[in-house]
Amino acid sequence: MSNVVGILSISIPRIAVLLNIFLFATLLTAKKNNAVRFLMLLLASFVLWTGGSAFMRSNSFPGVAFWWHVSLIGLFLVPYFYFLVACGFTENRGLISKLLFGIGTVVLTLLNLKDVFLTVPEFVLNDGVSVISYSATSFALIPVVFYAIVMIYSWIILIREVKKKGLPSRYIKPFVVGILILAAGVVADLIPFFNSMPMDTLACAINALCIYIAFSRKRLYPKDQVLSNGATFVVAIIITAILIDPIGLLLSKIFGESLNTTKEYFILIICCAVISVLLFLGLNVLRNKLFIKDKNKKEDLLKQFSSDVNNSLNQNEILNSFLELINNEIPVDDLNICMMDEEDGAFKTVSGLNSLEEPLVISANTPLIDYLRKKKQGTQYSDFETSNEYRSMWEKEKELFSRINASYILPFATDTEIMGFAVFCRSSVEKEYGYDEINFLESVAAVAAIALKNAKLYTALEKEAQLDTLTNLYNRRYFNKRLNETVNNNALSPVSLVLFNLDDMSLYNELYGNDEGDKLIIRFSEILSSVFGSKGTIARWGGKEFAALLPLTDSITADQLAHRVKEQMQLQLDEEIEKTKKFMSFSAGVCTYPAVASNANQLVSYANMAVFNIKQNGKAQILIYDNNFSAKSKDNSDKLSEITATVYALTAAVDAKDHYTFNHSRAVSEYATKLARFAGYSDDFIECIRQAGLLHDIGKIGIPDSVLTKNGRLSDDEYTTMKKHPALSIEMVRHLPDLDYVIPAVIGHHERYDGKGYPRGLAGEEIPLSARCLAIADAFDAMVSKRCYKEKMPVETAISEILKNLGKQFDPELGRLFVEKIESGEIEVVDY
Amino acid sequence: MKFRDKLEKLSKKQIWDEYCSFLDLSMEDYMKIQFRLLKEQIDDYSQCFLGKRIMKNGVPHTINEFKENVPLTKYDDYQDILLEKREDALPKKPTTWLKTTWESGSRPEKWAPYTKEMLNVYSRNIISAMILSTSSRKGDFKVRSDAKVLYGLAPMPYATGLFPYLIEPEMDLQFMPSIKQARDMSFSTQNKEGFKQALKSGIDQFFGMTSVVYRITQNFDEMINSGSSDASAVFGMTPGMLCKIAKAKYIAKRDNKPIKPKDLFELDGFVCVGTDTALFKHDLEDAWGVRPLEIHGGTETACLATESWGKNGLVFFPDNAFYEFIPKDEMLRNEADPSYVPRTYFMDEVLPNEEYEIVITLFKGGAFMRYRPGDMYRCLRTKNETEGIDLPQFEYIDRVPSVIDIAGFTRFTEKSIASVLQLSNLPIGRWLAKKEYSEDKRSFMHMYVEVKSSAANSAFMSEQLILDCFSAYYRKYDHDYDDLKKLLGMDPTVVTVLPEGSISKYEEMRNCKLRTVNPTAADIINLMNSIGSTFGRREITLE
Repeated sequence: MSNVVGILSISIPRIAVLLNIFLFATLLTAKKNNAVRFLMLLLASFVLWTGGSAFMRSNSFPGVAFWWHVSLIGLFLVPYFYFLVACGFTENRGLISKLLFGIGTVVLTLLNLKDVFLTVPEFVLNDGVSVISYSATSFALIPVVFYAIVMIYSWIILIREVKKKGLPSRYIKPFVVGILILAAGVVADLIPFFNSMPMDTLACAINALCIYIAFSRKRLYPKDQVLSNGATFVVAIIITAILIDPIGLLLSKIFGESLNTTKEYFILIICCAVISVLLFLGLNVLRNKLFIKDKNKKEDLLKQFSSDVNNSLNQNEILNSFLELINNEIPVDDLNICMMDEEDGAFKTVSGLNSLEEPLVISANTPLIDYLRKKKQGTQYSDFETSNEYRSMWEKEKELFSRINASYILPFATDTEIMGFAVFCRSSVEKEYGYDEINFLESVAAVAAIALKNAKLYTALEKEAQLDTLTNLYNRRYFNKRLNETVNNNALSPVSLVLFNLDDMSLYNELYGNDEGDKLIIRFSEILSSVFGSKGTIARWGGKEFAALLPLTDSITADQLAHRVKEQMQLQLDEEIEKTKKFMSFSAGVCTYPAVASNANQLVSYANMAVFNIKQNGKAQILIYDNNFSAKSKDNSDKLSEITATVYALTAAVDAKDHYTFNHSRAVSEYATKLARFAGYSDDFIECIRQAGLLHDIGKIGIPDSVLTKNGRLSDDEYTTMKKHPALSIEMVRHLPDLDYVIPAVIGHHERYDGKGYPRGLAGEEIPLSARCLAIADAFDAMVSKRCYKEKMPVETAISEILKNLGKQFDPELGRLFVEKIESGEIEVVDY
Repeated sequence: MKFRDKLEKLSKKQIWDEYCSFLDLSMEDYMKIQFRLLKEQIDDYSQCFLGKRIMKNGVPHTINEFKENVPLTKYDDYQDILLEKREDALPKKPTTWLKTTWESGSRPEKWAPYTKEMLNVYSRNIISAMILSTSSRKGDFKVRSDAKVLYGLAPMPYATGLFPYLIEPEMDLQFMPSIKQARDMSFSTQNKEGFKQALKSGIDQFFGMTSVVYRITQNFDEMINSGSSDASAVFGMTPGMLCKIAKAKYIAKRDNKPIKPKDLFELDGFVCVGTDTALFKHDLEDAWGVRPLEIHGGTETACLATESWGKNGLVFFPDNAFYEFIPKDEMLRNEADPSYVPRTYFMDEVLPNEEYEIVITLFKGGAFMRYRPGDMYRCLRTKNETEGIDLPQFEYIDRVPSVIDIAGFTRFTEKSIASVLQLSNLPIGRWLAKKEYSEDKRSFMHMYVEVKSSAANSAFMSEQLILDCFSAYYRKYDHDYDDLKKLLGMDPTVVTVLPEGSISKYEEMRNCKLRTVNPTAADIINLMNSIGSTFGRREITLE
């Protein structure tokens, strides 16, 4: 029993001193503020206290008296340093009390060196156990009272400041636990059972650990900075040095007298070296677990984030990754990300953790942006409030940031610009972020900024590819994409399309040159932008054609807007000095989905039809393509009969060249017209198809007879020549302005639904509807009619051939309808 | 965070940067603040009844439109709204109203509304001034949260009375007398009580009206000798003060020289407000051992400007109001021809050594737009290279020439003087009034009066009788006139009698028309020479 007490009597102070040294060493490499400095002083005094006690109890060199005084110096300094720690922890200045208590402590410590309060201890045998004995003088009450005052005042400061600042209780709890354990340790010393075991030193070490934890909770030192490799090694050496004595004892016990001194020292050195290395490795593991783990975790997260965002060129994806990372790692009530809007330069909320009732809109000239531009790094909002820039903040801007509890602003900045920023909102008392968090945020923002910059460049390039270079309006490719998206996303809401076609543009170019023509186009595009603004999407559809896609707009409103364009154009023309330039006008066709057109293609076709209709009747009109459009068109019967005459004149020329082609054209026209009628298309469209059918092979006039009327299979060269006939047809038709509306059908009737056709290789619904009708009719007639190189094919075989090629060569819906009508006899097979 | 907490927790640099770094602004950044806050004010102003009336020519969208569309205003343009305190007609709801006299009592008291946001700026700027008052070099200052402050400024609802109320929530200053005590005291009693308390426990800072401070300074020795000999006064003194007084008395007796305030007080800061501060500055520095820092403002204008740590020229706060300056010649032209619209210049357009009348547009929901408070400033320099200040610094000259301001208490105008003369039934014909200074640098109004020939031979028509009669009636007309005599122990008026017709004769001779109020010094000298009279008071020095 006495051995155990003896070992404990020596071991407890050693354990205590080791713990204190360890905690002290961890802070050596940390960035120090006053609070951390005070904590280091307190830990140093703990080391003196416990260290002195340990060496005194082991009767180490130079003697008990020396270590007794060392221990007491530490003990006498503890209350004052504890008081300093309380001040530092609560950010209390208390200059006078610091001075008074400091003087008191110095005086008492010096007096103690003269043994004024306690006698130097001696080892005495108590029940066979060597215990330390000392006695207090009559003056001992003085330091007791003084230090009691210091400790009570320290606690007054702690409690008062914690209440005043509303600090969370978890900050203060370790202090409470620590002081209670310390008190228990001191009381335990007075109990006979613990008489020879210095429980106070053990309690002191535990108290040190508690205070250390409190500092860690309040983030008064960055965890990742504590205990470097060097410091860990020094700690290992110190611990080994302290352990030399017990190791020596242990070796003596194990080997007894069998070893001579040299061997004993040799083994001791080996043991110490091994223990040092093991301790170093063990401490490193401990360090990693306690301090570096968190840092490593953050580094890993940062790497992952960097990898995620660098693989993305989408701003939303990058910001979502950012939000997710911050939400998991940083305490925040809400986070709003504002990005610069390219159009007005304002910073607007694009995403956030919680959706705001009213999104933030911060104008580019807000002083906060200037401030961020200067700093180029995150800032506590409270720091911004003290700046000169804040003086020029508008009250409504101040109110806005105050309402959302803005606490930290993190810009996404490059060398040249602020692309956006994140507003961290915290309503808690602890609004400001600590060193670790700010460091992490800065790193994340730097990574995000690069990724956002790349995404921005990509978006700019993408946008550039969507724009027409002359007018800066969208180009046709992008417009078609938007058109399909809009129609698909608005199944029930109206979507209107307005197609504008500048009249007499060729004449204008011829009269004033292409540069003037370009200027006119630019001016017209500006009018469109001013009239339609954000109501829809405007595009340059072709050379002299423009399109406006208007979601949630009916045909009447679209028509009104088109008339406003007309008024605006007239206003501009009125300002023209050159009278000849005043003749410019445009024709516009309006059509609406789903009331009139049932899909995007029809919308375009019908709007086009309206434009064609105007062109056939003159120009400078705006026409709505509605369900009564065909009836209105009948008024144009005179015009139509003129066109029909032209068509027949052309077909007669074909007949003269190749009678078979003439019959074929008539049959194709017949089939296609009927198919269009059964498909429910408008009369105008049907008429267009009829004429296109008659003219679709008109280009064959230009094909040599040797090829056109050859018996047998065409060679590759001949087939290539034959494939030119759609292009030749266009060449002929385009010289007849009144018939130009049949061009899409004529040029596209050899296109295939799977994109393998010619001449342009269009696929699916890219192929004009009229051309898809013609393609079926053309193929069917080719199969069921006799040619010089083949016999008629049975109708059933032709039908099965069509069915087999649905979705490949033919439009599946139209093909199926055609087959159905042939089978039912509603479309009769033309025999010639 | 309140200022007291900042003093505890923040470094000097952080505090300086927050409150005094506006002195580091470049001219460009200063104007950026000015224009931005002007935009905010115009937006708010255009929404209210008063704004719509003042900006009846249209809401300005550019700075040129602001100059062209918004007229220069005087209190008459606001009186129907402000005298009635019609809060619904203002851009923002006021938190408090301050008052001042209007044309020496010839008109009702002027009221000016202050919004919460204006008071926030006011408070910050006052603290800036307090920090600067304790500073002798950039970044260094000595402000104590619990400093003892001798407070010698007019109480609420005058503008200066607002200082303690604004500072109280921010700091634990011990005002002498306390705000509570001062509330029930006259200004005169407040000053006496404050000084009594200062003698008992000492002071760290002194805020005062220059004329009052100067009066205290001049009579300091006498006040110490009478005050400290009173047993009851001695009883409440701290041992430190007792020692200081005893030591000062001993040295004064030994060296046969008067006791100066610096023998008893070691001021950290010294702030002076009011007319003629520049005139007394040197004497005050000599007496108190600290160079006073001048601040300037007014009831309608709030705290406009402060000096820097060099205490040598006012810098206007960038966030209090938008400033425009009318050059003196433009102002005189407008005075002669009220239909003429004088040109104004912005802060970045002023020239050194030019005199300007200031025009202000209050920020933060203030009521006054392009308002002429009637104060004249001289631009000392457009930048101060010694102190590294890139902003213009000014010296407050006085009120505009049509107003005679004596010691910051009483303002005489042609209208007020004429009214009093009429009331008094004095047989006065034509008269002139000019602000002049005595040898001991006190300002007074010198009246040159022509006694009508019918009464000229009367034995009663002496200069003293005219003065007594005029003073008696003026006291009734304007109570501040009475305060002046009580507080400063001086008669603010001096009378010189001229033969009837002498002014007209002089005008004919010179073929000019003399200004009734503040004619030029040269005109006065020539007039007096022309009538063969010696100067009324030889000790008088003209401006």
